[in-house]
Amino acid sequence: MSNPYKGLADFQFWRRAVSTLDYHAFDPVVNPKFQVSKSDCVATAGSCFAQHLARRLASMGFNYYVPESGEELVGDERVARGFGVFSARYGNIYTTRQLLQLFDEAFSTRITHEQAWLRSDGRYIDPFRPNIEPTGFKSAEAMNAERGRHLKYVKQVFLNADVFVYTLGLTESWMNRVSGDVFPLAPGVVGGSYNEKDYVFKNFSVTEVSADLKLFLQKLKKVNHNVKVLLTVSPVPLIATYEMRHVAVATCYSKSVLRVAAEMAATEFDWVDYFPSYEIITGNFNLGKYYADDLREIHSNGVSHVMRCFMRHYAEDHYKNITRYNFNTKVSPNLVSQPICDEESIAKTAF
Amino acid sequence: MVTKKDVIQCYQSLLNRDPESEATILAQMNHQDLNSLKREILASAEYQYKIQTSEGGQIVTKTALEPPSTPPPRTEKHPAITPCVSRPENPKWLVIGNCQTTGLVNSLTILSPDVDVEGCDVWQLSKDREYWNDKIASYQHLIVISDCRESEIVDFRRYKNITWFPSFIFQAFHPDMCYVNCPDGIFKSPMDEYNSCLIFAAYQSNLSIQETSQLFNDDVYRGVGFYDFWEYEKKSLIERFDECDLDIRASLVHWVRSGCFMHSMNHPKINTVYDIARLITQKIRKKNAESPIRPHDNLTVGPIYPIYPEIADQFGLKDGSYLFKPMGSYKQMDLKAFIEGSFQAYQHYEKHELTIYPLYEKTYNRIMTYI
Repeated sequence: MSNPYKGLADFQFWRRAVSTLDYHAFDPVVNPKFQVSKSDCVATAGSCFAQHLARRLASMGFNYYVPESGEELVGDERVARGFGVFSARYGNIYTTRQLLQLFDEAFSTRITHEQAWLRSDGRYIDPFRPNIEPTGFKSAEAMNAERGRHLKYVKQVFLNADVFVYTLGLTESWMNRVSGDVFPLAPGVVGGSYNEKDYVFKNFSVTEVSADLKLFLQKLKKVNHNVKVLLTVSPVPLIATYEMRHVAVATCYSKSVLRVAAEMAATEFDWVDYFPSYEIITGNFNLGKYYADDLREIHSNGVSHVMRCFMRHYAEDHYKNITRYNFNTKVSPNLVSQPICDEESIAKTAF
Repeated sequence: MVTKKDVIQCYQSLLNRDPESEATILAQMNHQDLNSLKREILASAEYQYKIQTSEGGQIVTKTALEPPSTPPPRTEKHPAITPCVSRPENPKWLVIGNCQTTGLVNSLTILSPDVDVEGCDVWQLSKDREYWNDKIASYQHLIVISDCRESEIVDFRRYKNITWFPSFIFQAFHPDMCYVNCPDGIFKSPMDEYNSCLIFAAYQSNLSIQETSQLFNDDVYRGVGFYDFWEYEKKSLIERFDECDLDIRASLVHWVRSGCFMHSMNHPKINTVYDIARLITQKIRKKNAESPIRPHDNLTVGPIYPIYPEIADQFGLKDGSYLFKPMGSYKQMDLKAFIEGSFQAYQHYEKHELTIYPLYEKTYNRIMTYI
């Protein structure tokens, strides 16, 4: 009797790859498409989870590419103002539409129309990265000037990255009805003012997310022939949904769409790979151990598991063979710190 | 001030038995005075149980110590509850083991309520060899640690009714642990017989306390192979149980999922001990009484060695720490205090008098080469 499953690899069987495995040894990465060398410029963008990856890549000695680094600022101010969180100071890029919009704006192929949002304290904020400047801008002009500077760095990221790591975060978004501009946060949450005439809630479909992602990837490749892209899906559940359904159901929809879009892109382009950090964090094999007490934030032990798999498959030669300890070695700093997430503002202000 | 003798006499007089282990004696010596110790024993479930089930409400004492000054109040038995008491017809089992004896006895008692299970640790066995040699024949079943197979104290070849179990050693969570030999036997650090291989190697290499504390980091652990213990330790543990015809593979999956299942390299947590007891019961009787109850974890009285945060991280665990819990106390030491305490203790001997225990030579040599 022939059986098509006979002789398949261990990782293709649940019992061998999950049930009987020590949970820290769970490794869903199979046949990575490329390697990340220490000299490769690695850029990151995406949701809150991407910040964890960015921080670990930087601490592990990768060439983490941060052209907009704010290196002239002191530590706390630098972090508070969103420098170094990602490769450029774009804050969270949750949706693929937002990513595409940013690319187009950086390369001047599309103009965003939304003007600076006024905050209740009389300061102005950037609608496309509303939490990036905690004290806000003194005027709309000041915000626009700063945005102009920022976009030059964004362009550098897209032009120079050897590896672009993007974490798809959400499908739910808010959009300007006329211009089609999309925002990481609804107007009115931390600035601006919501009205039904100008703004509309948008929950992107799998067709839309996939099309936006494909278009972005094609445009990126056109300006940066050498780039490779590693896609991940954020395992962080929605903090809130605007859909009239349970937040867990909305989360499942959103993550499913993002996962399918990532799969479609990785299938279509041989320079795009999907890295299964979502499966590592959300997999039932770990009995929820990789979530913090709120069952939403990701605990650092989960990020460590993700990075172990990443190192094993994408950077195998990373750990050089050290034969003698150097007492002058700088010990890696504590990696446990909270990501800066625009989405958090919804929960903080929705009472 | 409570002495060791006080503790033993109190146990014999009130509970009609010896303390279960040296760890128990040490813990009980922490009582401020004898009355405090007596009060604890008089309030214990064991005493309450024994006084209710013994003839005339009094436990027959071995020695004529003064009777308890304040007898505990007698409680009325609920008529609907038939207490599960020891019956003459109950089979009797004896567990002969190491530090895990108490946990095994209690677990086996839960799993087999119609069996009277008693324990004798290997130290008691060697101390009272004549007594035990006479008594062992009265048990229907012996559950014996496999280290005693070739024992000179008891000739176990005479008995057919034995279930063997191995020492539980698993070092992957605690790859830095070791024993050190000194002219007086096993060297005692602030963590009792447990030493840190890194600290000992650093001391022998004339490193300062500051330099020694610097060694506790990811680079060093990776360099000296602390992250490479898992597969070997797992394989060895499974093989040792296989040799005793006990298959722990399915249990091990659960232990690993539950997190760190060891207090130290040779002290398993009580849930692990219970699962071993379940395997033993199944093997002897092909059945056990499933219960959600687990006995108290007596080994928490002993030293508890932390899983260093970097090592915990490798195993997806959240409970990494550099806090060392010493024997008989819950006052934990931080890493600096442990290093300082170890260095001070090592200074009681000449350096050449201190040697690594052979089992840990490989790790020690790797550290010595690395630093």
